[in-house]
Amino acid sequence: MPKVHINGTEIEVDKGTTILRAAAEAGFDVPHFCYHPALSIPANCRMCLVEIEGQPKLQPGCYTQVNEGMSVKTDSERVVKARKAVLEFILLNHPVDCPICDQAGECKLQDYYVDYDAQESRQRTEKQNKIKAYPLGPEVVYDGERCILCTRCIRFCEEVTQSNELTIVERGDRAEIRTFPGRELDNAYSMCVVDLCPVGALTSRDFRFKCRVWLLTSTDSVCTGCSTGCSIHLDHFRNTIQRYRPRYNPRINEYWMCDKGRLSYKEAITDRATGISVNGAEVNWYAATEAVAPKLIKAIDEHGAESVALIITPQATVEDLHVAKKFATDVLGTDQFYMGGRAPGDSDSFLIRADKNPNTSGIAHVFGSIAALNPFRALVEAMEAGKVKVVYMMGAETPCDAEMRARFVAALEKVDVFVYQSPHLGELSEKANFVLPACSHAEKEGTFINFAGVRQTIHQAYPPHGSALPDWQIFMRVAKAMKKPMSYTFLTEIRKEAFAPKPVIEPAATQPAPSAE
Amino acid sequence: MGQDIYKEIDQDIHTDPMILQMGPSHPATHGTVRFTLTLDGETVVKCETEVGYLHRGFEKEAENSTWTQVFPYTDRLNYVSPLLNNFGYALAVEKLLEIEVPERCNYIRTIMGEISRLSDHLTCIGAGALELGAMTAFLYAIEGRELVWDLIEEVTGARLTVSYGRIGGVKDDLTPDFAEHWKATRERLIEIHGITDKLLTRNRIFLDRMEGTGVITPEAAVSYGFTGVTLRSAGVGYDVRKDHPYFCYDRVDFDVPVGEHGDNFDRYLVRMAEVLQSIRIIDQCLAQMKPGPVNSDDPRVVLPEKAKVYNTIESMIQHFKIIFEGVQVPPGEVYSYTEGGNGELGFYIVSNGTGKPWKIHVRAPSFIVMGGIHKLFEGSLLADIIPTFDTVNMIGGECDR
Repeated sequence: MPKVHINGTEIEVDKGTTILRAAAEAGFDVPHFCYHPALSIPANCRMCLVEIEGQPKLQPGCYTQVNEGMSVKTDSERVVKARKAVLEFILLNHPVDCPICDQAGECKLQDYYVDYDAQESRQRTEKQNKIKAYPLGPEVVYDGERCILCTRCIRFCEEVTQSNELTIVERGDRAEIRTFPGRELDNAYSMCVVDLCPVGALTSRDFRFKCRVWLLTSTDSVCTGCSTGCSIHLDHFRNTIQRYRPRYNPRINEYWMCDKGRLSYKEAITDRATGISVNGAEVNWYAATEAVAPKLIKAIDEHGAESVALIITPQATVEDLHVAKKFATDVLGTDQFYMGGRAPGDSDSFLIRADKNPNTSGIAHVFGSIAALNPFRALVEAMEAGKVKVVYMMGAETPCDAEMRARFVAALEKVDVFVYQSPHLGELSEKANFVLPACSHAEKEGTFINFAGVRQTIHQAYPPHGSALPDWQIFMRVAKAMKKPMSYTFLTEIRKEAFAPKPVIEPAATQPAPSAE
Repeated sequence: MGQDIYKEIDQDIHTDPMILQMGPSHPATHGTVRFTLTLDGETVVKCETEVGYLHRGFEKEAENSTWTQVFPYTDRLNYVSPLLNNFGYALAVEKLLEIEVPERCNYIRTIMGEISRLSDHLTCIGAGALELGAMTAFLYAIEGRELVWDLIEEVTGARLTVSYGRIGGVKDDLTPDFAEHWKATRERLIEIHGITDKLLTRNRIFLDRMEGTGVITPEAAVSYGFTGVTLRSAGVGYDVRKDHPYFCYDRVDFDVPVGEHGDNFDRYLVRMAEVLQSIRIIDQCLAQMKPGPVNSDDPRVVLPEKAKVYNTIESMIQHFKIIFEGVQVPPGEVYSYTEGGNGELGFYIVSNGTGKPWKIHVRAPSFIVMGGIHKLFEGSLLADIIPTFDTVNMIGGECDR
């Protein structure tokens, strides 16, 4: 463990640690553009130059490893002068784009200029012109003039996705980032280069000119696109999601997330169910739950509890699922749970998983196992056979192909009552007798458990749209109308109960579990 | 014999104290303040003051604005002398930033501040006379104020809500012919001062209403924390400009007029004398000041020129950062005080090192005076409240913030 002095502070670090990291541990920021902790180190931006005692030239802090007894200065006069020179060179051909640049406000170049340079331009010649608004791929746009050629994007495509789309063409002040001939930046993680880009050279086509970043508020959340459950910053403005950004989580997604997941915020905000309706008439929560309750009671009384089918969605949080289970067993007295949620899709070996629901493991946690839920196919068959009188559905999605969905929609004609509790309207809301608007994940607190069992909390970003309520509160309202009230006041109570250590049950004799769809 | 008759009648009169609500929208309680008066006949026995009717949440608003965005809010503190508030706030932030402003900027701040003080005092004298029925004196004083405002408009572009101060300087230099215009205005101001003096100072009616009313002893004034004219009229010669000089006040020669009795008439006299002193200060500053920059050269604080912003990326970034993230003021706290129109105007500021103030508290001189105003009212007649309330010159925007 070598001991080093950084600006006079002695610190002991692991062998092989770079000066930049050692300085960060000692509490000194070394500015850098090209260095990224998850990528290889080219040391090409020269922003992180530091002075090492006994060495005549300044050394890049991101690349140089510490030695025993090394004495480093990160803010000596020479270093400050070198930084100013580096920034002056970088800004030499940089366009006056801040007012029209999406990066403005979260731009490293702006931050470092104010922190380390802050001198006026000395340029007396024309700036070099390069390509503007050049689409590198379906999701990413390139601006050659803003580019500082740090090569983070190139290294990302080489090392992380290993798809090798990008390279530098030309040289000197004409150098630009391009795709190889005949290629497009179209890998499944292409938008990560937008986050990586320290300046505004690479911008997301989705987010371009949509919202200025200083207006955004960021809430810690989880991507609901698949069962990986990437940690995200949910950036929102005026009560709607503007974009997702990956949030560093070494246990799940590190710095990355896939494009599909990143754009899945659109699903969350389109076609939102905001009004409560009973057979098409808009009512308030009290009227709706008072109307639902007798229908449910009547069906249970006349046809038995098995005639009520509850579709449980793995899009819901653990807390919602816990209350849903309690609602079914204690209030309805049924154990006819059916699996809802999205149908499986494509997968890869990195982050994208076939199970497109963020909380399938949450169902396993709450219900004991996935197998505790009957497959969706079984529900459709039961409905077609006329055994189901009431369908109480959480969520808008069905875990099946188009043919099965068509059968499901057709079979809905045969049931007496269809209660549709979902954040989205969709075609099913037209069939529904009761539309109960639920919160999207951006509007509520909760917990998701990803495929590997990592538990993550989502936070409320903005108040619910319209009359929407979290699922657990809707269940409580219906239960109260059925004169079997549940007694939760805060989400934390449910969370405590849902994650209470379970009594150990001896495994029952091996019985073939019904296969989950 | 007659005496005895009156005595009996007086004894028969039922004299329970009467509660009278004065304000908050009484014509004489300009600035919306409410006095709950307990009257014994026409004598004020007790006065309970209630302020806050003009509360705008200045201090809270400031927490959600960048340091620079606070300036327009300070305009609306003492809205008769907005420049003094601008400069007082700017000085406080500059103390936190530990930056110096250029020489010329200090002179400009002194000059424009004193011009603002002229407007404040002229308004107070004129409105005070008006409330006692002297319409003529009011018109002359307001003519003087209009001339002063013409000058302010010429320099700042606005007459009332000027927003002329900036952190590290001022919005712009004085206009090239400012000195010339000042010369003309100055002559007329001295004329107006003379006319007002003739109309009021030896006016029997005015004297009867002003002399010996609204009296405060020096001890009481000090213990209540009074500052400004209200304190000086009682004979205590405390003036921030003299005792803790800032801007260019240590480089100019001026007197601090003080009264003797602490009554309304002395407050009137002190204001009249201060008008002349302000004119003196401006004259000296204009003679002393030299051309030069009006803004600090610290690029982290002062906005670059527009031409550079539009044409170079360096200045563009600088402009962008200052506008959108605000001037980055290092963490710390400061109490900075200047002589406002009505006394010591203090800004207590806490910074947490971001572009927005963490907390701003304004020590508004009017607010402090409202804390002890009952001392000036109690024991005197109901009618005396009118001149007394005027000469302490309570400004709602500043008092209630």
